[in-house]
Amino acid sequence: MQLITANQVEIQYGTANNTVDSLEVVINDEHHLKFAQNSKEIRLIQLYSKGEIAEYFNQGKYFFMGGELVDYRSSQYKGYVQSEENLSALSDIIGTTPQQQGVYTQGVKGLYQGSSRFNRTFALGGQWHSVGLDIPKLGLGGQLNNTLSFFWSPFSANIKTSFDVERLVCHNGMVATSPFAVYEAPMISDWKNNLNILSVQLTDKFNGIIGDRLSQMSESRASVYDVDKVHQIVTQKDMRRRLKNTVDSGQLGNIQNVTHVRQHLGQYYQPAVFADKRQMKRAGSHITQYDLFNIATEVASHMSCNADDVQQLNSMANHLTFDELGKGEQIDVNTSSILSSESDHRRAFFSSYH
Amino acid sequence: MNSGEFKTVRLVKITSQYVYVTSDVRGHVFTGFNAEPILKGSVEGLVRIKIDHSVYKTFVSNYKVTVFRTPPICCLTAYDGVIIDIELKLNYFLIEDDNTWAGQFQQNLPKVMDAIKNQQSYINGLQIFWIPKESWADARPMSQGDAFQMVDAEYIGLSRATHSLRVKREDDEKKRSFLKVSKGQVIVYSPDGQVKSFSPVISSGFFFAVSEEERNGYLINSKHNPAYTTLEFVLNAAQTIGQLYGHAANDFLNIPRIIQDFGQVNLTKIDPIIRATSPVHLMGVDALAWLMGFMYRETQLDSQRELVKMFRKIMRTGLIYKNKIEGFYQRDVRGIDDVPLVSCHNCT
Repeated sequence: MQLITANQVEIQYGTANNTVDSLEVVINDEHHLKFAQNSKEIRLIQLYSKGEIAEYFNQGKYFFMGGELVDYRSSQYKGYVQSEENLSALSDIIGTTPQQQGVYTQGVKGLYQGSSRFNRTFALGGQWHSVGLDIPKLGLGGQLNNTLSFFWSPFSANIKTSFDVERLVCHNGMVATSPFAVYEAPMISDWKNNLNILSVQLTDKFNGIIGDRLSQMSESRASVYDVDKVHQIVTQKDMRRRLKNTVDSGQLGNIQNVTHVRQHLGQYYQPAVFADKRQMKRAGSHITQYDLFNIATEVASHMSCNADDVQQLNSMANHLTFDELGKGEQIDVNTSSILSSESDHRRAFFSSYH
Repeated sequence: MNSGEFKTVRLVKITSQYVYVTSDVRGHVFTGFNAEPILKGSVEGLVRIKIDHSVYKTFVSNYKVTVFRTPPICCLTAYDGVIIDIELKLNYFLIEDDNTWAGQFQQNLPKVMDAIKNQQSYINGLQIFWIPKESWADARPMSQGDAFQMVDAEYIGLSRATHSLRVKREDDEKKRSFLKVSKGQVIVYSPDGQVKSFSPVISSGFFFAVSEEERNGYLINSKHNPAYTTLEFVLNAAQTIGQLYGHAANDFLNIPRIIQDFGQVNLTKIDPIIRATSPVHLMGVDALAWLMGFMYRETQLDSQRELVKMFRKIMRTGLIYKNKIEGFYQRDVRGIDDVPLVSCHNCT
C-alpha cells in the first residue's frame, strides 16, 4: 500500500488509426497510469497542452495497492488526505475485500460500495459485524443473517457503511444501497472503539428497519409496474440461453410465469392500465412485495445474471424494502364528485396574469 | 429573433450558478453581461456572471472539467444579455489566433438564421425553433374547434447544439461546420384565429406519454373522453407561476377547492404516483390555455426558460384522460380485494 505525491510527471499519448485513444501518465519514473478513451482524463488532451496536463497531475496524490492505482486526486484537489499512519490502521482494522466476478460472496454477488473507478478487483473495506434476525411471522424464510460492512477512502475522513441482508433458507440476499441504510460517519482516530460504537448503534437500527419492513412487505402488494420490470429482466433472451438445460431453467420458467402481469391480471384491470406507466405504478398486483423481493434476490444471487441485471435486481430489492419508508401519503380520492365539464379555454388564456 | 451576442473571454471556473472569467481575449477586464467583479482572492480582474443550471449541465457534459488552472479561451453566447451557451477553444485549434477564433455557435448560428430568414423563429431559453411552411398543412388538431393544434417544427436545442468532445479530430473538424437541427412537435394555441401561442418543442413521438391510439385520435376536449388536469400539474404550475408572477397569479387554479376535494392541506405530501394519476376539477384544455397565456406574454429569457422547464415536466404527468380515470378495473371487479394473491413458493 502506497500513498505518493507526484514530483515528476511525464505525459504520453497513445494513438491508433491516426486518433488519440489513450493517455498515459508516468509518475515519478515508476508508475504508469493509463486512461482509456471516454475517461474523464482523456478530455484534458483536448483542452490542454502536454505541459499543462503534466501540471494537472504533478503534485497530485496517488494511492496504490499491490502496485495498482486505486484512487487519485489531481494537483487541484484541496480536500482531506489520510495520513500514511491512518491508512495503515484502516487497512489493518477494516481491511480490503476481493471482488471476484461470478463468485457468490455476500448478499448479491459483486456489489460493493466504494469500488475504485480504476480497480474493480477489490474494495477498500470489509465486513465488520454479522447478526442474526428472526422474523417469526415469515417462518423459515424470516431467518436472516445481516452483515454490517465498513468502507474507507484515502481521500475522505468519513467511513461509509453498507448493510447486507441474507436469507438463510436459500442464501439469497441484497446489499442495501438506499439512503436509509447507507451512512457516512466522520472518523479520524481511535478507529476500533469508534467503529464498535457505530456498529452497535447501526446494527440495531438496521435490524429494526429490516424486520419491520419485511413483515409489512408480506402483507402489501407489489405494484404491477415492479412485477413487470422483474418479468422483463427474467425473460431476456440471453438469460434464457445461459440457463438452458441447467437445474435453474425450470425455476426460471416458474418465475417467468408468475411475474407475467397480463396473464394474471388481464381479467381484473382494463388493458389501458398496462400501457401507462403511471397507472401500472398505482395498480396493485397479484404478488406481495415480500414475494417479489424473494424473486429478485433469488435471481440476482443464484442465476447467472450479468452485472447490469444484478444491479437492476438489487435496486428493485432496495426499492421494495426501503422506498415505502419515504413514500408519500396514500389517499383515495372520489373523482366523480371532482370532475367538472365546464370549460372556457379562451377565458383561461386571456386571464393569465402578467 | 436576432443571432445573439458573442464574447470571447478567459475562463477560470464554472459552477451551477456562475461562470468566472478573468478577462476578454485582449486582456481587458470583462464587463459585459452584467458581470460582477470579485475583489477577494489572488486572480486579477476576476468577474462572475450568472448562468442558468442548464448551461452548467451542458458544459459539464461536454467538457467534464469545471476548474481551470490555466484559463482557456472560451466563447460566451448570450441572447438578451442572458448566457445560453459556453464553448471552449479546444487545444487542437491552438493554431487559430485567439483574437479571431470563433466558437461553433458564433460561426454557424448566423448561417442557420440566414437559412430560415423567411420564417418566423422563436427562442425560449432552451431551444430556438421555427415551423417550416409546409408543416402548417399537416397540422393535427388537438381539440375540437382547432384552437389547439400540433405542428411539426425544427429546432436547435441549446443544450445539445455544440457537439460533445470526441478524440477523433477529423470528425470534430467536420462537425464544427454545422449546428445540429432536430425535428419535433409544437403545440400551437390560437384562441381567436389571430393570436398564436407556441409551446416549447416536444420531442418527436412524445405526447402525453400515452398510447399510439391516443396520440392519433384523442382530442383533449372531446365530449366522450376529455383530458383532465392532474394534481401534479397544479403543484408544478403553482410553484413556477407563483415564483415568477406572485401567488395571486395562481387564482385560476383554485387551490383551496383542491385542498377541500383531496382532504389534505399539504398537497405535496401526497404520493407522486397518486398526484400524477388523480384529476382535479380543471379541464385539461383550460389549464393548457392558461399556461399558454403566460408563455405568449413572457418576453424575459430567464422567465421563459423556467416556463419551458415546467411545461415539459407537466406534459409527462400533468394530464389524464377520462377513460383512464374511470376505466381502471374490469367490469365486475369492485376493487383490489377482488384481485387474488398468487403464491410464489415454487419460485424461490
